[in-house]
Amino acid sequence: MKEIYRIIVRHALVLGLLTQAFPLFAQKEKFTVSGTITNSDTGEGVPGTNITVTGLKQGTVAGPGGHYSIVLPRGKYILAFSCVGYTHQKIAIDLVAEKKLHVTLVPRVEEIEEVTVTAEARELTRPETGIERLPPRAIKRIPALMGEVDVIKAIQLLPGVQPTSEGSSGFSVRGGSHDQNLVLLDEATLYNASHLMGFFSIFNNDAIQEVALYKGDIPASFGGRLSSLLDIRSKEGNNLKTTTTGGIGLISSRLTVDGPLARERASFLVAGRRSYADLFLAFASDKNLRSTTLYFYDLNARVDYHPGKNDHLYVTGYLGKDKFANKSAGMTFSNRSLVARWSHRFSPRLLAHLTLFTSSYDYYIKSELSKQLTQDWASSLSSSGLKIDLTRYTGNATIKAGYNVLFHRFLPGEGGGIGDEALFARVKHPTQFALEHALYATGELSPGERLTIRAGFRVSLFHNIANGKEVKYLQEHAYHHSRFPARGTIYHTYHHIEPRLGVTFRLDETRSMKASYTRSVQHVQVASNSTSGSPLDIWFHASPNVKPQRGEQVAVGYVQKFRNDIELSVELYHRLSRDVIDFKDHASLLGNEDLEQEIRAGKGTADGIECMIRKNTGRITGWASYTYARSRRETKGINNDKPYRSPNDKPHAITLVTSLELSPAWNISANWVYATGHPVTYPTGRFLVENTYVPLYSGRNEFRFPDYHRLDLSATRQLSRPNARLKSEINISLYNAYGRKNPWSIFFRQEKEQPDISYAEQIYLFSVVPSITWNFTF
Amino acid sequence: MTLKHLLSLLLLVSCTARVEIDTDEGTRVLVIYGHITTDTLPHAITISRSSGYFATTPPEPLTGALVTLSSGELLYALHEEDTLPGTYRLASPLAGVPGTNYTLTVSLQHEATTETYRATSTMPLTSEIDSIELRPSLVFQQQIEVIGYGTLPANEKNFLSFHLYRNGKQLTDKLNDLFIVDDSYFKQKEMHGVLCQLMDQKEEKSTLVPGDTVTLRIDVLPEEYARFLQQAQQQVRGSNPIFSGPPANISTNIQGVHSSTPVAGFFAAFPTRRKTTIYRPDN
Repeated sequence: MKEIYRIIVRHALVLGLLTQAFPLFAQKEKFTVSGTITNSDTGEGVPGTNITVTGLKQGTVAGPGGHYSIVLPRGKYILAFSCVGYTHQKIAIDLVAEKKLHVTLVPRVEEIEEVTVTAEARELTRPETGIERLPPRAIKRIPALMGEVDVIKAIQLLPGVQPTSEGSSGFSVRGGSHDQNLVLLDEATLYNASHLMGFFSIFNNDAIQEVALYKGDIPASFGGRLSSLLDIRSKEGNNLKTTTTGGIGLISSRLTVDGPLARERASFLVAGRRSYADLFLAFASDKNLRSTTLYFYDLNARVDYHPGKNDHLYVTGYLGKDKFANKSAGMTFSNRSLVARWSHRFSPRLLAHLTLFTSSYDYYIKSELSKQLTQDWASSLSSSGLKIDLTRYTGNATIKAGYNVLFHRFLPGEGGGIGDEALFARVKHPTQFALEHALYATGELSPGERLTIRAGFRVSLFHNIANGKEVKYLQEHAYHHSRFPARGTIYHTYHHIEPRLGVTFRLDETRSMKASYTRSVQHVQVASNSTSGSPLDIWFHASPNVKPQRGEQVAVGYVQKFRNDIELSVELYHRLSRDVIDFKDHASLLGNEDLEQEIRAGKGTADGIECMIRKNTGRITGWASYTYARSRRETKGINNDKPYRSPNDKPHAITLVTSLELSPAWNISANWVYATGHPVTYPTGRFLVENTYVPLYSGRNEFRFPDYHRLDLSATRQLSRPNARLKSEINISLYNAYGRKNPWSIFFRQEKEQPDISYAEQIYLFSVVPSITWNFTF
Repeated sequence: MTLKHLLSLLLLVSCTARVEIDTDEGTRVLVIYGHITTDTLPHAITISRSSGYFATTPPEPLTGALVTLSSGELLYALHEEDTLPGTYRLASPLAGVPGTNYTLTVSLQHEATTETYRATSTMPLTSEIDSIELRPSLVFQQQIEVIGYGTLPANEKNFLSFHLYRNGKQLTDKLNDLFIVDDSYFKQKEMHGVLCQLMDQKEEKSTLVPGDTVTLRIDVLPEEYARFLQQAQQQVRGSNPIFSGPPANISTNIQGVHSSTPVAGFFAAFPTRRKTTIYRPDN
């Protein structure tokens, strides 16, 4: 462990040097305007607010907690503060010294703008590609499966994002696999963000402040995944008055209470959700089903404290659990996270965040068929760490630097027979430990009015830490030799430099061109060869036998605004991934201690073009997008070493999302999605084994499911008057309105009476699914 | 079992529909399949060509092959049956011997050349069945459990498959009827009251009446053959997006000698033991 501490200290020294170097960039006769932007109703910060300086092509975006800072030359300016869902505000200032400017934004009563992907006010100048933000109120208006408003289902409507299977919360970004997405809730990594076998995500929309998806161009302050970053921030409680929000739906109900603990200084938020599908099972015709338990619940809690104008502390936690059990078997899955964050403004130009976080995921399965066959299986993982982020504002540059460390503890599994009469022996796979560090620095500079450059790097280090057991080394997928490093020592290290670069060139007031380059490294991944992932997935990390996955993405984009409320964006990308994990044919993953022997690493490529046009204001809002994307892999030992389509290769995808404000009381929304069918391996031949036809298959993923398309509709009726204390609305939705039978899976069978006849049978999960939800707030 | 329960729950909300799938017939593959056991029998293998998946006729038998079986010391010829084209049988009964390495060689005349295929299998040591017991299942409704008592062989790894006969007629005649287990099934490293098979009393063919004879057959499989059967079972059951990996062709131990023609199937040598009891529910 001494080595670990030495590395941490060394990194901290480098970080200190970087911070000290910041003043070198400072310009004379420039002053900082800084402050916090808060919601006038609730007192909570409003991150994502755009601050633009009228007359100058300069601006910034409020960060977490609504903090912002901008450096300007001495002079008189008008600052414009704008955020979706709030009335815009302009404030004139005479800047002759450092200035504190706290701003409160008033929420809009009407929600005309809400059903949009936020148009970044600085979209034209920001040197970022492939970033999408979704405000929770926009997500709420999108028609949802069984009325369950769902962040991830909304994300899946964005260009370049696809569900990994029908109804799944797993998602693929630009053809990547579902474990190549870094999902963060307040900086804590979530490893399986789904409920009910993946049909619902674990995120309670009422407890969410902000959702941002970075499609490949991941900021240097984050890393560890190749495809995307889904950064979800929880909502700060109302520090002015207590409010209660909730909803009663067909499958679950939810309740959120938030309010002040100390007026304008401290607040709390508690949000809970529970499903009750098992209540309906009590009426099932099958007696066995009546005793089935099937539910999920989750709980979000957050406490915020503002001890002074320069400090903000909060603690946020999440607990979610799924349970399925009947007389003979049961499963539970649970996610937990706990985050504590302290933000301190050392000066108007220097902001720091210190974040401590931990998260865990575990599952437990038990089968009690008989005393001989009673057995269980448990697996768990946890990641804990800290993150230090510093932001320095100088004249025309913003510099960020930081360090983070993450300690992983993965228990692949333990279990077996229970009791003296059990047939199965008990086994415990050794717990695996690893440590990830990263040091980053990035700067955003505007050398001229038209050009904005973001350049940065991330140095990542990954250590395998010995657990006191044998470390086996593979050669050609077979064990070759082994070592016994002492428990707690580092026995293998990977280190990488991950440059990040972004450039935006503003062609004129309404058009800009963008480009970015990102290199990223992924050290942990799911041991799953299914397409959508399952609650039983286990994660494993890089090791002497498993190289980290590495990816490089280049993207270029074009953005144009029309009439100030319509935006067109086109983005092309190419991603090359190396050492992408796949598994050999018939791999045995669950409960396999020798998992590394099953792995086959290869090369992946992804290319595509994403086009989107969106309208952000007016009675009709929404977006339309078309994506052409290809994703391929080439892995030695798979598909006879020939290239094959990745499981998420869907060349064509069209999404239409629209919302119409019929009247102050009525809002109707509709989505239509289309995508080329999933790649699939079909049987092309057959032969007899033990009087049964066994398939002979095509090449890997050589065929496709039928194309996917679906229409969802919803209507929301306000039941209360605008000024009523109890505000309520009723939402009626139709998922898959025209009952398209999109295949979830296709099975191949033999006729019972004529065994020489084979046929294909598709399973589809959803026909028309109506739902009704009553939402309220007071 | 739990995964099956979860899947069944999913299937509760799902529907099925037959669909037309347009696949080409792929490459026709040579298929060689058969085994030799410790039973004294004129053992046979079959040789055929695979058919398109949606073909409506049985696979095309391959005739005219030269087939031999070698035990290292002795060489036996297998002759094609007159009434069953593609089936090649030993001329006289033969009992395999555990520990022996058997090699099957198949030569086929293809145009002007002869193609040769070979497979080798070492017969594992055998288990012994002391007795079997029939009892109604307390767990599975309307099922009778077949419980085995005996000893496990001293192989490095054991893979056992359990077969059932009722009044001499085999009930486990389909691939998915086979119950294949490995050493992890035997916690005490012995077979003492182990559940070997279930007899479904809702199905006519396995419904027992007093006086019926029930025979349990235990085969000790070579590991490669057990994997072959398990892979085949998995592929026949099909895959789903949550718990299954991508479908893949099952392995084979048939090797072409100087031939790149695709080949499938398996040749295995394994010992087999039987024990019979009479169904007397009152006891």
